Amino acid sequence: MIIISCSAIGLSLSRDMNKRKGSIKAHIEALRIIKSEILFKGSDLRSIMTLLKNRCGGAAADFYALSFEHASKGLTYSKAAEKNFSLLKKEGLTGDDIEIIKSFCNVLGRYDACSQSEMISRAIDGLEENLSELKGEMASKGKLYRAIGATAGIVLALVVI
Amino acid sequence: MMTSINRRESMKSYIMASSLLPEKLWRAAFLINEDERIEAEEFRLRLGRPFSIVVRGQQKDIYSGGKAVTVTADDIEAVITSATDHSYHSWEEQISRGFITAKGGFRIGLCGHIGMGERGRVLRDITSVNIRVSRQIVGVGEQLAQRLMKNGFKDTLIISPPGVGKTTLLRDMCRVLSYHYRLSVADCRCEIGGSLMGENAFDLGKSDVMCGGNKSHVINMLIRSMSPEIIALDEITEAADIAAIEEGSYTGCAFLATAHGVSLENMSCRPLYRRLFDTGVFENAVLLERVGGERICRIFERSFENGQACWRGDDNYILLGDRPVVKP
Repeated sequence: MIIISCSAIGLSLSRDMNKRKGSIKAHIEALRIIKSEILFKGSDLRSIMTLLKNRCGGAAADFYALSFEHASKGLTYSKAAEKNFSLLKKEGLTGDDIEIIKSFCNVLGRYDACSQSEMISRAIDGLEENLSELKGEMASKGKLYRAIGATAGIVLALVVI
Repeated sequence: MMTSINRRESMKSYIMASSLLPEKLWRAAFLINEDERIEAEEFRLRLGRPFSIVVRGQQKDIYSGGKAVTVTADDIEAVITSATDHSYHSWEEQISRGFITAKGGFRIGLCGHIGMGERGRVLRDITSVNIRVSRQIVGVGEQLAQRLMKNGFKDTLIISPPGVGKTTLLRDMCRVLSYHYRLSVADCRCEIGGSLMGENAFDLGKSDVMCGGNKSHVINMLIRSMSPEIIALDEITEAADIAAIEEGSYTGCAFLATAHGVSLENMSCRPLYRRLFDTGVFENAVLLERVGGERICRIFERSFENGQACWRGDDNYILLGDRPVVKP
């Protein structure tokens, strides 16, 4: 029992990392779509949100669309997004990832296309950096977490016996 | 006098225009009385200055609890955010030209610092905003249009100082004339039809409306694509507009246009309009004035005396939206 529960902890740690990885990838994809829509088509945010839902779906698209919905009720986009940061935590994103998304939300729809595109590129770079760090961490620590979990379980079982 | 239908429509326009304001200013906009709201022409926002509303040509600062309601940078940003639906980038081109046409056909004039962005001019640090309460007063141009159609419509120029109602008159004349002629509207600022996303906010009858672009380009496109008998356009302001009108007149198409001015003499003193009159395109001029709260207009016809072109006006004034009167 003890071995199984410790292994489960190890597995859960590794699953959290996978979840974060998926979320970061989804946000990068969403940001790329937003950037190209703003820069090349000059689309308004309302139609970009519909496009995001159709093309990427998932939690990232939901976060941006929900923030826009709140913004339509008289808030700025950044304030509306702040209300939904709890969703990002549920997606497995860390404080560092959320800070990057926050900086992007602060400029979304507020400036000319070129300035926004520059800020979105920075946000994409930041998220990509976090993603590559996470991948490295997963390669080195993913197996380790599982092994530690199993070993800790065995040791605990031996101690109990 | 405005009919009750038009009063209701005017109030509706006021409510719609005020919805572009942030909550603080929106509340302040309802501190003026009902008659003033119906006749309000503009909301004026100046950074750090009192919020004011233009009523019957007069600016009125708004006070709440004995204190002037002061405009902040957040208020200005909120207006732009609301007018652009959180999409500044989609309106970049219009903003760089100093205005946004918001949903409902409300033109929002902007003033700030012009800088250079990667794609050209960018208007930054906006310090003044002017929201024009555009209205459709159905019937306001009916009588004038009928008079001008009497012997077949001829090229007509509507002249008045700013804020007297040129665009409102033009809008209604387009509606009336479009039932008798193939009429196209060169609506470069999307203000005549109040068009947004292909939908016109105002009733322009059977008019074909082309939005955006510059006037000369749009006039050429309309002539080629819609074979209009009349082209309507608002505010002739530059030499290129005059050249386009002159070129368009060779196709046999008539023009219905507006220009800022207080009298024909005043217009003739200004080189741009002197050039416009020299083209000989416009055969009628309609002078629109505000007299004691009412708007009246007078028609002038171009005639020749001793080989010189001159304007001859009849003695009949038209009280807009109402009966004709002999003298104001």
